[in-house]
Amino acid sequence: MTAAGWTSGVLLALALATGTISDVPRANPPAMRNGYRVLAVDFHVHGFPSSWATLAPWDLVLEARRQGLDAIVIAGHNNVWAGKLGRWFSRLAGGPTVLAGEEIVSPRYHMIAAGIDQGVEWNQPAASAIAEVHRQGGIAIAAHPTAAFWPAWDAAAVRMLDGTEVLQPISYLPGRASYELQEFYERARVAPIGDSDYHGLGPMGLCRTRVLARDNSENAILEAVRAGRTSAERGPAPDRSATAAVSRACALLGLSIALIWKPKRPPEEV
Amino acid sequence: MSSAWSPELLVMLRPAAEYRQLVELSNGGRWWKRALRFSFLFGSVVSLAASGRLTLRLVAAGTLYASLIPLVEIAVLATVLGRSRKVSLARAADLFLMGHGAWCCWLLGFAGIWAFLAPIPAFEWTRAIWRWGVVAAVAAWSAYVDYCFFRCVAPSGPGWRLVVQRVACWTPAALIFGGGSLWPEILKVLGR
Repeated sequence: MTAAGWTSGVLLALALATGTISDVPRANPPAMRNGYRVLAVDFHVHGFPSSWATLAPWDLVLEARRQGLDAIVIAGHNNVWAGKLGRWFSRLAGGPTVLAGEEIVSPRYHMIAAGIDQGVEWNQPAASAIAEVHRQGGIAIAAHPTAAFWPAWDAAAVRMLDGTEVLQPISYLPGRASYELQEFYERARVAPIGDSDYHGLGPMGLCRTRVLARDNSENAILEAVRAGRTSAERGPAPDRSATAAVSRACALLGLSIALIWKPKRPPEEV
Repeated sequence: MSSAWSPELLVMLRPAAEYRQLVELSNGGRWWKRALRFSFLFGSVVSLAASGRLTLRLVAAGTLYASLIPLVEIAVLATVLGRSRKVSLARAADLFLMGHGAWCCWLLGFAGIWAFLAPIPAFEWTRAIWRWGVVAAVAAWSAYVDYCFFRCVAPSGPGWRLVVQRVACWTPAALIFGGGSLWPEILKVLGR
């Protein structure tokens, strides 16, 4: 092996060791307010495959625990199986509450259907999709309802909604998204929801919802949203510990060295 | 001639000349090591982007999922090259995987942004226009690199081999990665 090969190997081993050691769940002590449990929930989480995301449902469960979330909705793009798989794994592993869900991705609107077990067709108007979600006992949340999606949200659909995203990572980006989410909320006046729209980039629960629920069961969370006992908030600051910093610095350096320099003399040159 | 630079880097910078030389060196061909290295890089990027560190649970999972990419590529390569190749299939697979340098650089840049910037600035940096603009440039250069590969390894019809390889690899990749919303997104782009 060449010197570059050794250096890269040592750096990557150090990165893995420090990264794995510092990979501990955030403290999340139970809190109460007005007789309700205060839960941190991310209603908009995507998994691999099929939803443009990098982490599988079981990885999402472990990541939710690491981010101190009490519950998540795994919402596959136009499928519910990813959520059901995540829910099964979380029950097995004693993880946070997982609600099976679907992001109904239509060309005209996006909607989170949380607490459902059967897929909901995307090629139908928003109001009839919401009716189907309600028939299954779930809740319907308007996903990032920026102005481009407003034509699909007619009065009937808005009246039937249970919640709407008012805080999302897009809220912090330049442009009008933040105002448009607020404007839609003013119109809908349903439970305000904060979500990370998680695809594997950045921390899950970067934006999250504080839910006041009887307990941390699926039914209690759904009931709390219907009753409007929610508020949207930004999640805690990302972990900037020294061990995590060492891990990412060594990782980037090790991977770059491995890419730039020859790690080993090839057989034809020996 | 021996060089301290990695084959990925050399092939990325001067694909035509490097592939001409490499095809003549017919031995070697540890394709599975190169495939594993690419998968590990991908797994590391998944871990850095999701947690800002290299953690075993995410690296292992990401590496496992990403290993599908080189496996599908090699299966398609075997079909596309057929018996008209100038080197063994193992050597051809090794040479082909050497051509992933541009994608590796892009992945490293992406991981660097997510690892070192706070989440909101990272979102800003990787917003659609910047991301797709850079991806288009990387995809174009990578296509040229692979065209040089086909020209050296199977000189007849390198253009159509490249097209077949891209369609056969990227179609299942798009279906697996984002299949759930692919059709509605296409309809949206078409204004339907």
